Amino acid sequence: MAEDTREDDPSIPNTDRLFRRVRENQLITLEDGSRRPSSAVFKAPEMSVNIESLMIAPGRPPQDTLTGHPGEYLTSIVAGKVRIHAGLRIVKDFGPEHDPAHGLVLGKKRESFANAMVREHQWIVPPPPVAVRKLL
Amino acid sequence: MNAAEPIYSTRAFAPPLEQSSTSATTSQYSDVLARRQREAAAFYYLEPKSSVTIPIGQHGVVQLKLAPGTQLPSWISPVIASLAERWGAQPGWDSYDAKPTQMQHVLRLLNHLSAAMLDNSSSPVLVPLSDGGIQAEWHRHDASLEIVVPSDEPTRYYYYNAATEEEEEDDFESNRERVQKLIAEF
Repeated sequence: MAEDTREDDPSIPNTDRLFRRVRENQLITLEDGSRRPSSAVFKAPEMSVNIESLMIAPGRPPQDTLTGHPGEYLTSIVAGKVRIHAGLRIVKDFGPEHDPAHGLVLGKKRESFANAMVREHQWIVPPPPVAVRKLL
Repeated sequence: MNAAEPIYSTRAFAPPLEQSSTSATTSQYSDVLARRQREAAAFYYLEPKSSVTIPIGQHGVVQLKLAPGTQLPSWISPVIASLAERWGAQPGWDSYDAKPTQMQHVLRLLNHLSAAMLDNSSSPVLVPLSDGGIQAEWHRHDASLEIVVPSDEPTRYYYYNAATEEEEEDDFESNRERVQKLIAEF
């Protein structure tokens, strides 16, 4: 597949949050029973997101990203934290088949990037924690 | 077992990563569980004498062929369970544009795990990648380790320790001994 060479869109502010859905099979359970996204969530070559400013303008809450996707969870990363990684660009990606707030994070995602996003991410709609059985 | 269901087979003491397929039933071979034993018995070639067939949910069947006197390592069962539970079955399984998980990449990962893990190593969690590949993850306290098998690139590993801020990211094959040591931390 030819690489998408679109340039970063500077009209997307660094303070914007980028919302991405997470499914059950992409969750990692930590020792305290809390769950977080696997780094695999942030490795898609063309990583789809919803762009915060494009949702705010028409008055849509972030949770709207989950409309039509029951049973999924919603996390967020910050545009400025993405851009500090070399070669990554954020673009708007409108189209009739896409959400009007849809965008893409373009560029090769190394493991260091994906894991940095795991450390930085903030849940918008978190998964419920898993009960931890303590050994007596 | 469904007669049309492909069987993915492993051969103990087999030549490295032998693969074949037929039109009737797709069969693939790899040397999962074999490399370590092969290295330990470099002057012998022993035909596999037994096998264990393990379904991965509805996604296929893995046949692990064992050399005489060997048994499945304890980490295999949780790994297979993790595969079955997390397999990306349909296009768009991640609710975006993900490709279905591909068995050839799963076999690559199983080969790597076989080469790098001891019988009593902690089992990783397996997570599908959106490109059809797969990765194995270990997490303990402040440390994380990944073996990543992308669909179109060589296997990589990644290690991070938040307590020491140690971070490594490199090719797996040329750093297998290092990965073996890292796995022992989990």
